[in-house]
Amino acid sequence: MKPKPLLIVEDEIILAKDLEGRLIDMGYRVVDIACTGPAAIAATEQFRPDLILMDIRLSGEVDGIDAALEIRKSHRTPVIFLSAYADEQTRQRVQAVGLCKFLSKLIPDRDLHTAIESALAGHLA
Amino acid sequence: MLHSSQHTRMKVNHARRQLAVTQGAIVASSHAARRQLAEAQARARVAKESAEQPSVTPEQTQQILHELGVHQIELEISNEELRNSQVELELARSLYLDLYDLAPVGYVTLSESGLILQANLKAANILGLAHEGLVNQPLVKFIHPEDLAIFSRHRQQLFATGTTQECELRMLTPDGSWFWARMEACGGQTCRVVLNNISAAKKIEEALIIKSAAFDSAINAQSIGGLDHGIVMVNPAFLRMYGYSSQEEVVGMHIAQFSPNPTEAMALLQTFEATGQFEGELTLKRKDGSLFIGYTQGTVVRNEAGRVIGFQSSTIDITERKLAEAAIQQALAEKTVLLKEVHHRVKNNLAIMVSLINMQVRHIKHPDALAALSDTRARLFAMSLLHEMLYRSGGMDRVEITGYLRQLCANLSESLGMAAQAIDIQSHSVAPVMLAIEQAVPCGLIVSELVSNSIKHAFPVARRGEVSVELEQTAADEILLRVSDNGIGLPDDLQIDQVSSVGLTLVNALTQQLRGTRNIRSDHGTRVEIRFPLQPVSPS
Repeated sequence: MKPKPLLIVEDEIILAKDLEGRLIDMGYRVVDIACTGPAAIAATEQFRPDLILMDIRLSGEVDGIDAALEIRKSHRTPVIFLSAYADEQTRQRVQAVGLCKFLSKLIPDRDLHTAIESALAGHLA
Repeated sequence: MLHSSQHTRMKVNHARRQLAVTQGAIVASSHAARRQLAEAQARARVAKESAEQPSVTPEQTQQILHELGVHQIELEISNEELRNSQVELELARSLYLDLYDLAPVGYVTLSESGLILQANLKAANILGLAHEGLVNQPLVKFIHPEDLAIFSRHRQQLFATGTTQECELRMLTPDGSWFWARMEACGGQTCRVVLNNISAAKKIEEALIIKSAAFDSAINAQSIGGLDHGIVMVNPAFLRMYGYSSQEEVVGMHIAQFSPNPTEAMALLQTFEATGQFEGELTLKRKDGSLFIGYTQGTVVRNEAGRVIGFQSSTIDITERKLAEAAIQQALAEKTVLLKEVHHRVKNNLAIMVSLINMQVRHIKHPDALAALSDTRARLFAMSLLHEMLYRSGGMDRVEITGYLRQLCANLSESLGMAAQAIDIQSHSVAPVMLAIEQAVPCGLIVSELVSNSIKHAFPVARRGEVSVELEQTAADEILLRVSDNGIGLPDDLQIDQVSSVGLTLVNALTQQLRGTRNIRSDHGTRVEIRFPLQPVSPS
């Protein structure tokens, strides 16, 4: 079976590279690593990933939630937010995106794998 | 005991009765004497007339008898009139005594040299002496030594002008105490003095002077207003605070005029009138239109009957305090943002280190090197997770330890590839245990070491087992951390103090850092207990 294409949006390149290695170990294909909101929007247009793993805090004006909201205007790509941000306001903003899930960056591989599979299977609200 | 006025009245009545009896006796005795005298004179006259007029006709005798009868009646009428006028005189005297002695003011008559010639009961009462004790005493004897000059001046002016003079001075009583008296004197060399004890009024007057001084020297702006909300009086601090130069400028102004928003002020006034009081912050306006923030307390003022007669208010200028508060709030907000940023960076850097090791691990094949890197990664992960939780909690300096340990162990079991072992985390504390970051880091590292150790060594291949982490607050200031497994236990010949593994070295060092004690038991598995004093966390 052809590996599913995923997009990583993360401005810390080492974290992004590590995540990429973990995802490849899980059997996925990482189409690109975007470091900013606009780059994430462009990469989504270009690579049409099956799922986006998105950091919320990004360098630049546009954060991960804003980028996801923009992407949501033309794509129904599921988004898994990976962040330590968890205050109420952030959670409400995440809710507005739809088809998304919020996970800690320090999630064990097994749990991450399960979450990705669930999202790819269309189980996100 | 009889009241003195009553007593006096009784005395007067008694005197009246006595007088009536005496008068009767006098009248009676004088009547008898007069009778004798008249008899004698009548006999003499008859003898003389007989000598001059030897013979009296019966008609003449009849005429004489008639004359005598009329004369007797005349005498009786005259006697009755005399008796009546005496009773009237006595009544007038009693009335005078009554008026004089029972007057509600002290009344003293002084001789030219200042001796008391006469004093009424009230005067004796005021000076604390018996009535008789005052007569012939010099009045100066009753003047307070410090007020002798006042008395002397009062007498001089009286003699010089001849008009009524008044003065207030302190007077002494025989028991050594003194009181405030008002003295009013008139007359010439022999003068009449009216005395009043005004101590009570003086006390009220002095209290009013003190109140007035407090009002004038208060550092807060005070105002008194009337029913129409117009200013009646303000103190100097009010003038300074509001930038006015005199009372006259302010008196009559409506209090809403001191607000930049009169409509809002009128609404506040309505509430104030309804509740009878106000306390709170107000934006207020100075004469030059500039604004300041005041903390004002106001109450309506009622008379004795409870009717509202005005209001009073007191204000302090809290503008500077408010500015300082705002500056502190802003500094605090900035500090919080900065602290959050620092935590974010620490958390990120730790995550980057974990990622670096992850990347390294993927390219290493040697089992020892792999094991060493995995151990290091677990330790870094323990710290990284703590910082993420700190960052997420927003508290920044403390963490709920049970939740942290649960997540830590979930990751350990997964990352060590030994999901077969069930790790059970238990907390025996009633309330969540909050640990300061200084204690949470060593606590996390200890658990990481001990759980890793159990997973790796307690259960040889194919054997399933349980690892349990328990945390209990055993006393207000003590925490018990217990990590146990139901594995094979420690080898019988193992001297725990001789073991020099990195893991045990870390556990010992970290226990020491926590100022705790460690206890290892091997009995149906291994059980490690660490007790350490709970470091109090400042209230969040």
